[in-house]
Amino acid sequence: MANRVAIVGIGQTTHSGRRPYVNDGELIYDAVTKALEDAGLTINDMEAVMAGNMDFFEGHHLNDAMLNLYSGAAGRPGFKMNTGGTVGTMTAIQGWYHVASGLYDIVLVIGWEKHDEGPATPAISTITDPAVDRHFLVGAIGGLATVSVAYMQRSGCKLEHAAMVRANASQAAHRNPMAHMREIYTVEDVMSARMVMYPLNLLMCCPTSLGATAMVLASESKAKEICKKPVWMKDHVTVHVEYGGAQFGIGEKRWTSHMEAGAKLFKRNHITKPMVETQVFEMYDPFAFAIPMWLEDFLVCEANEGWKHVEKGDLKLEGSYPVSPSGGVLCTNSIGDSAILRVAEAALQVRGDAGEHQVTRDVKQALASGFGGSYWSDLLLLSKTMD
Amino acid sequence: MKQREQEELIYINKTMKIPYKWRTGEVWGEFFRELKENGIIYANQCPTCGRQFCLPKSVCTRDHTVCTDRSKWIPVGPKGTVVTYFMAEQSFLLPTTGEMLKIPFAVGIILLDGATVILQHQLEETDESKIKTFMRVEAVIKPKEQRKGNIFDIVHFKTITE
Amino acid sequence: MEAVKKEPVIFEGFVIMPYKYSVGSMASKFFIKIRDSKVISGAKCPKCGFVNVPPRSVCPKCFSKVEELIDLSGKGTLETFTIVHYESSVQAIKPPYAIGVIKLDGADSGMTHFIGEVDAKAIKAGMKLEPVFKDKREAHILDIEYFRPVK
Repeated sequence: MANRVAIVGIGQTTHSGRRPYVNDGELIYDAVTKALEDAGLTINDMEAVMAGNMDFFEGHHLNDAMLNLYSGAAGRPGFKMNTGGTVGTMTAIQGWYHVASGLYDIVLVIGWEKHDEGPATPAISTITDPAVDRHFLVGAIGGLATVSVAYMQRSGCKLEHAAMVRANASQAAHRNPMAHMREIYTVEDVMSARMVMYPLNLLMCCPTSLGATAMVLASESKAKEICKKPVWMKDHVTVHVEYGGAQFGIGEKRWTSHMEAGAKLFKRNHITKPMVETQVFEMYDPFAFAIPMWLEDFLVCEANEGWKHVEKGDLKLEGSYPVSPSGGVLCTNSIGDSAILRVAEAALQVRGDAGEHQVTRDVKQALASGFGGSYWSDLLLLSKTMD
Repeated sequence: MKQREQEELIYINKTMKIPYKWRTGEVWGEFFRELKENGIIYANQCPTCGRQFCLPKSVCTRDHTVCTDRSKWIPVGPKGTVVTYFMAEQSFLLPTTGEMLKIPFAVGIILLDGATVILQHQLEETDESKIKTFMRVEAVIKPKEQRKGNIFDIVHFKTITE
Repeated sequence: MEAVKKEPVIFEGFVIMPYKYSVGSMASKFFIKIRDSKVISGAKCPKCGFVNVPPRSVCPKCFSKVEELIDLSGKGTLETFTIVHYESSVQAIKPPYAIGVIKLDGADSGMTHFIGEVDAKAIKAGMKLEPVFKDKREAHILDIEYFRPVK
């Protein structure tokens, strides 16, 4: 049986496009000191440190070693996560395993990325085999553009719905002082943006941002002792699928990693109406079609209904089921940081500490997801109470 | 902020350029040899689930069955169906060669006739309005004297009417 | 798989990517002092006094934020060293060359750099060294060409 684990401290840096005044270590230190302060603890209280970041994007590999002075990992046990977009959620989940095992009481988890230092799309291209797919993948956008085309084909979703998603995200990010792209866009602004890869135009893709997020996780006894508003990491599911191909479900029933994750999580937690029994979803949404398509894929709503929820305004900050009220990855994407930021933002919503971008619904349970690599998915369930 | 704007900042500018010699392995090695010598595109079959992989796989990712039985290789294509596609209109650096991507660049997710798992490759058509899902395409293969035993021995897939 | 081993098929290529690493505000000041004044500085922790060279904005001893840079004489003691003979495309200079960890006077940490103007056989731990700066400097660690024995 796993022990209960709570998030007892949260810290994030502001996110931006360029920040040459700090180096990557100083960025991490900023998030770490904020998380420690939020938890009311010092670095000496941390028993292990999990570090999450993508090798290559800043031109280094094993940079958790290079930066262990700034993260506090020097002299402590821990892991480095390197799983693409799911880095952040995997880092939080690794922290969870350490505490849930009963071997550690308090751990620090950190995710960061500094995209102003390196070429994101070429670096992402090296995820593929060099002899064949690397010439055709065209970074992360290629795969996501194809699933968007397939989604429009099967569900009736139109380009305008993706534009609505982006316009809504801009409204949410405008209320989040830590987000990167905070300008407000109308649906017309989004529709007229420059085409990058059909059907995704420039505003329908996420930006490359920089930032770091840190969280302190604690065991049940410690959490109750030190924290007034612990956020319980109730459950999580990680699914990996076979590299390439499986997303397209040709001639077979379409079954993706998101579907597997949603099915497992909701079954284990006896959730039959996710849009009622959870009140907010910080989804890893790196492109505009993600919200309607993956709301269906995670089995939060019925198939082909995702874009209808967008049309009705259900998924806005004030709506009946807010999705990514922080602005999401669409407005801020610092890859090693983005997924852990989803967990942090969902936790802030549960705590009622999201400030101007706090949702109007009373939040008892929240979902957070991570996505990346070769279509790996993480889905986490956070809760205000232990049960 | 004014003080910051006057502050001089130092950067380390460096281009990483690491050479690699990637071994394609036994299965892909055989695929590229056949493509080079005979101009044939092969798929192999998993003995457990029966899926036909093009490009061939050495292990079926679903069943973990080893698929190296050469007698189970079948020629597929050269015609196929575009299941979905994307078209890049923004160029960027290709790390394998150091060149910039030539745009517009269309890639089809193609199901070759006889295969059950898809292949990604360039489409000849670059007018987005003319690319349709489920359209029929055919591999354009280089003449033998130009083939080198790599994926570019297939130049691209041209649209055909059937 | 096959009784006869066939010629392996090899795909040749590169991984080529350009980077622009921000050293940050504090490190920029360190490099600018070297370029403009030929002065090597260290970061002094306000809490425990630990002096770090090259400067880091977090104290390795007590995890406090460090913002103060103090000027050092540049002279120091060689802690340990090695002689590099093999060649690699990532080297700054051609081998053979000596590289060592030098504890500058006034610093609590060691810094790595080349050792020059001395025969490889004569290098010993404990030697007193001083920096030699290039005439043309670019706010880079290699503005220091090497450290040489104090005469």
